[in-house]
Amino acid sequence: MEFFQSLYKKYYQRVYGTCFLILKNTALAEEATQDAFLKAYTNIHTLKAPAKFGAWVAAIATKQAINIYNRNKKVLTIAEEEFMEQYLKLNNERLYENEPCSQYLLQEKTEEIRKAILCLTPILKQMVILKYYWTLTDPEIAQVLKLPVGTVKSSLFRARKLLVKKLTSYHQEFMANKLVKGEPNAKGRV
Amino acid sequence: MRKEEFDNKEYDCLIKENVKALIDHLPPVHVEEKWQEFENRLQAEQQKETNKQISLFRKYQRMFVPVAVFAVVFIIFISLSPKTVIGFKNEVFRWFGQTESGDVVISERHNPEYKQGIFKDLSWEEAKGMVVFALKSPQYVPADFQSPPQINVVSNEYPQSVVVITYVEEDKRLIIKQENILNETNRNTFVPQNADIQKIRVNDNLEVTLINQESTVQVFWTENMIRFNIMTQNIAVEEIIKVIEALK
Repeated sequence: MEFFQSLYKKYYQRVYGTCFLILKNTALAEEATQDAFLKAYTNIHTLKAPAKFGAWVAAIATKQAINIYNRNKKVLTIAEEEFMEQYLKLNNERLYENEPCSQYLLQEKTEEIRKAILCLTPILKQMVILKYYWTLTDPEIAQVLKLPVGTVKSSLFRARKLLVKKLTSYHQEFMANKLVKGEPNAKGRV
Repeated sequence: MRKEEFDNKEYDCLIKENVKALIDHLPPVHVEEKWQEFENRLQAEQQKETNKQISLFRKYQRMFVPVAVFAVVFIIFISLSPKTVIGFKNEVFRWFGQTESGDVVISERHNPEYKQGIFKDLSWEEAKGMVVFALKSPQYVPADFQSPPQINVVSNEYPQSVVVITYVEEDKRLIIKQENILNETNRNTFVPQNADIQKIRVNDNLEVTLINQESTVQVFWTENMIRFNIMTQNIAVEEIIKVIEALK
């Protein structure tokens, strides 16, 4: 139990963050996280790679979160607006430290991509989180979610395509505005 | 900004960094508190599981008692119930009789159907089919009796049975009883003080006992293990003897 407690404390915040990203609701994210740890505790004997405990719990948590999302589909549309606004602006200054764009551009870009991520469907978000945050490979994702590798790959491709599409359109629009105003970027490129 | 700036790696990097930021930089949660909640929930779940198992056990226990009682009763019933084996048994009932000309006749009946109880108002054929002995029918009855007789069969312990043939006409009454005697039996006949008892011979070879008391006459005899008993009221003895002679 003590060992599990240490794992719980180590991963709780990250698993909770994972669930929040899918559910966009603190109370439901907590519920999903607790459910996931409860399941993990009961099925700890099925864990094949102890080093991947965090990713394993996260996978369980994403599944729980999607179940909760589906159960509460009709009432979940109202996200915690104020909280989400703050959430999108969190820790902006840390990103793109080497990006030679203006601070304004950085902030705009960051918010845009975060919005795009948040707008993905729960299943696509699940794939993106497991791939980019928990650094699982496609076959590993397929294994923990009990899905064919092809399904995982196609889901990731779709998610990435959606994100890229949003970012590209944003940049095209942004750059068009810049051109009209004649403002060069930091590197002198338009 | 050039298109190539947004190559695959850059997109991946952008996505990764932002997903990380979205997850890692949520306001911190009080993990100790959450652990307490988790422990309570785990305890509740375990208690729930235990209760579930207990209730399941009790359910089976509740089911087990009646099943066990039923099984015990069934076993007792089976062990106490009489065992009648009929398979491959051929029951034959045989009587020795005599024709009018003095020839011996051996009558046989195989595996007769037998029902216990009192059966009333039967036809002659029905009554014959219900007994295991050769039933004799009265070929002669006094002319006063115009109506057909009432025939009843009383089936007792297999294969014992009594056939009662009753003729009634106004104040006249004629009752003929026939029953087979297979086991050891004791019977006492009450004879009133003013009754006249005599033994007479019928058909030269049949000895019958006759008890005569005022208007009532009773005659009985045994023939081939069949006990015959004739009770009459307001019928002359000569008529009764004719009835006995004509029993075939």
